Amino acid sequence: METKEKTRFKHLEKWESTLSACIRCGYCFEHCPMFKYTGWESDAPRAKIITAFGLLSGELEPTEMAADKIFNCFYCKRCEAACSSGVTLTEVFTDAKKDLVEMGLRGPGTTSVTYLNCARCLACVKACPHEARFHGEDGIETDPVKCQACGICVEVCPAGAAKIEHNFGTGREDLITESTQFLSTHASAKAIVFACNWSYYPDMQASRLPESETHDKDYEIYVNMCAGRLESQLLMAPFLHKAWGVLVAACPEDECQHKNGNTRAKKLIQGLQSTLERVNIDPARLQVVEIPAGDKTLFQAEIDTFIDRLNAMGPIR
Amino acid sequence: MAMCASVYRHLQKLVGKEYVTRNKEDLLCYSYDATGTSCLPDAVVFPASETQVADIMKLAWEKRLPIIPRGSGSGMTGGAVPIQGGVVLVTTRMNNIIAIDPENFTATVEPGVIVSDLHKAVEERGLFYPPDPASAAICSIGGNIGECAGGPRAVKYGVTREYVLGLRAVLPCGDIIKTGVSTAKGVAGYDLTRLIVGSEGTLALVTQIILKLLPKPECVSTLAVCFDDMHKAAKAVSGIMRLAVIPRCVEYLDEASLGLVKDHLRFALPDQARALLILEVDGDARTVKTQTDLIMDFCKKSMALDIRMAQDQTEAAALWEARKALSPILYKIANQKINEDIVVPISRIPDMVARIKKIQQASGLTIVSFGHAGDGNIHCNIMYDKQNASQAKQAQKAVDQLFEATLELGGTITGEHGVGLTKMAYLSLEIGPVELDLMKKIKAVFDSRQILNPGKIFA
Ligand SMILES: Cc1cc2nc3c(=O)[nH]c(=O)nc-3n(C[C@H](O)[C@H](O)[C@H](O)COP(=O)(O)OP(=O)(O)OC[C@H]3O[C@@H](n4cnc5c(N)ncnc54)[C@H](O)[C@@H]3O)c2cc1C
Ligand code: SF4
Ligand code: SF4
Ligand code: SF4
Repeated sequence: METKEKTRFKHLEKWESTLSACIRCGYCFEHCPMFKYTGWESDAPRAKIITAFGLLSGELEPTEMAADKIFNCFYCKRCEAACSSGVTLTEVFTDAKKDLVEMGLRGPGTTSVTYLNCARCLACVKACPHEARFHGEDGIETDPVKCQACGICVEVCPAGAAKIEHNFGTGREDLITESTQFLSTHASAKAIVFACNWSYYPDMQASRLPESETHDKDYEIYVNMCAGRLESQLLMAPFLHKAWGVLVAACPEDECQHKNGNTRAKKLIQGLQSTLERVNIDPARLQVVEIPAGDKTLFQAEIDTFIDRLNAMGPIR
Repeated sequence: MAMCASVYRHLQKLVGKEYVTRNKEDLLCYSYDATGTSCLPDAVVFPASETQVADIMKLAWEKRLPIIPRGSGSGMTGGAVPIQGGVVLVTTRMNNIIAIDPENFTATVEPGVIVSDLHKAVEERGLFYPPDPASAAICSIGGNIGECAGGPRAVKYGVTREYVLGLRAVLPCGDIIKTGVSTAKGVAGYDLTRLIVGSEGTLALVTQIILKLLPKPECVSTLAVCFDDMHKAAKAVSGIMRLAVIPRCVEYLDEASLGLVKDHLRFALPDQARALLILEVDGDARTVKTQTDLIMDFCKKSMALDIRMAQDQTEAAALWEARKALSPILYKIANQKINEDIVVPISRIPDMVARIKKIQQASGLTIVSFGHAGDGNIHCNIMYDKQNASQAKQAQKAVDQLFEATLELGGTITGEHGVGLTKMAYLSLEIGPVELDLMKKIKAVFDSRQILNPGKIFA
């Protein structure tokens, strides 16, 4: 595709050759949590590259809908790791966002927003690993270009005013509903595993097994994007529904895409472990493990060890 | 031809408003597959069941609306590209593995099931579904049926076709058919199953597939063997096959491919390495051991530079990762490639290799070839710069010569990617006029209104 006229996409322009380097193989989209959630190609990284290309070439008008697609990204960078044509997808998205913002299109897509009940405590401003939150004219605002949708502000906000509206099933409410449902419909259920999208799935990607094959499952894995956004309410909810234990998978410390997600998770879990101890529950029932990017074998091994340990402990009395 | 509002509303009623779209933003995302050809559809629809598919088909039949079946859009010949517009019908929501039957060694699946998900599901139960296209992690079973996909393991286990026992499918007029059997044998009537497998979504829209499974092999050993000359490697391949050991895969990488993937390999290649074979043997532990030894001996006699056996699964996986990385990485050489997946009889591989070398020298372009040498399937990639008119012309010429050579050696112009759009112009080189006419008539019997994936295969 040739650029038809002078483009308004000044930042995106420099990626023109990168955009054509994408061979549309699709290797990236099996990894994208958004695609896995909606099953729509237009939510997959490959399609976002096509969309960016469409915007640049003028084939697509910069509409709110096109912008929303580009603003939908958790910056987990799984797609980049999988792309063997070396397309730096998230950098392309960031530059596309810059141009769109200049045109007055701000998503929000997955970027976080602030509700009116914000108490201006600045907790999110301090916690944001990407310096995306600031005190502006209208109160606490988010820079939509800098925000990488890690969800940490959502976790720290005491007023519940920081929100990611399109969370593709990774929000607290969704995860609580899903995990509770699993625990209440599976007599064999023992554990819930929360994994950031880096440490990932040793799991099925986009197909569903028949009930007869899954009714005796003892654990279920849920992707929560960054471990740094895990909240105590989420981690404790399974225990209220007869789970024997909860396992959290995070990236190794120096590999976290959102700087300190790993350390935040560890701190939170330490605190919760002492809470468990106080109510006479073995703190080993809540654990965090570090999994390097996409190491499915290690992840599966950690899950197996955890389940073995739970089996030795038995249910919580 | 834009779609009229009443037809669109009808579609919405059939599948629900949230499962049909005609926003330009979405249409663009469903306008392509892995070929890079792109053409906007008028709408995209996501049915959840066979009944919905049949309803959509009936509507399309009545309104003479093109329907283009689409799995994951990873096809290499434009099969899922809506070249005449119409409605792209995506199978993503039909992603249920309906049943796995370990007693009868079958699996019943919907077309949107991802191939590697199926691998995982059956392997956990000690079963095995052999077809393994390099794109397994993303492509759908429906797409594999459409193209009759193969993969490295085809040497021993054959391609998708061999594993399809029966199908349920929707005809262009909306009627639902059931073909084949759920038993290991069956010869009642014409074999419609085989006719539909590999028909690139032009005869019927597949809605359910009964697949044959095998017991999972107890043991696998993986070998990497280097040669200082492509010709020697090619001769070794046909030699190994004559030893009466059938490895489950024999992949080969030529010099140019080696240059691309050497950083992905876990071991250093000898300096003189010009070709690499990746071989895999499976079966029970004893057979694997004897066959591996036989192959290693034979490779030594064939003057291999280096023979190495993967010590564990991780090493074997790393070798396959490198192989999998090859196809996308090609773009490091030039911005455009013409990818041909030709097949020649195994004994003619050395001749084909020599012919490719000649074509390469004459064209002055880089030609990278690698592939499933064990069954004679060579992925030949002609690399050129699309901005450079003379290179583009040379590339086209090289393709013509490549096909000419392939057919002369008794081969076929497409082993597993299908004809689709990109090979349409060449089909008549291989298929005679009478046979072509017969094929067109078969198409017309299934689809007299030419609405199911129109504009494909036949020029
Ligand atoms: C990097 C890469 C590596 C690849 N490696 C291999 C390989 O090793 N071996 C190999 O054989 N192929 C390979 N392919 C090609 C491709 O993955 C296969 O052709 C695959 O079968 C396509 O599946 P899909 O789901 O993406 O189908 P699509 O591309 O969506 O569709 C393919 C065709 O099938 C038709 N179709 C889809 N679903 C149905 C249905 N339900 N009913 C009827 N028709 C349908 C479509 O209309 C189209 O004609 C590779 C592709 C890529 C990008
Ligand atoms: S993996 Fe890379 S080259 Fe392939 S479709 Fe995704 S972005 Fe494009
Ligand atoms: S970075 Fe993650 S969320 Fe964003 S497109 Fe890539 S895989 Fe999807
Ligand atoms: S904390 Fe994360 S989600 Fe919140 S504004 Fe910063 S980058 Fe965005």
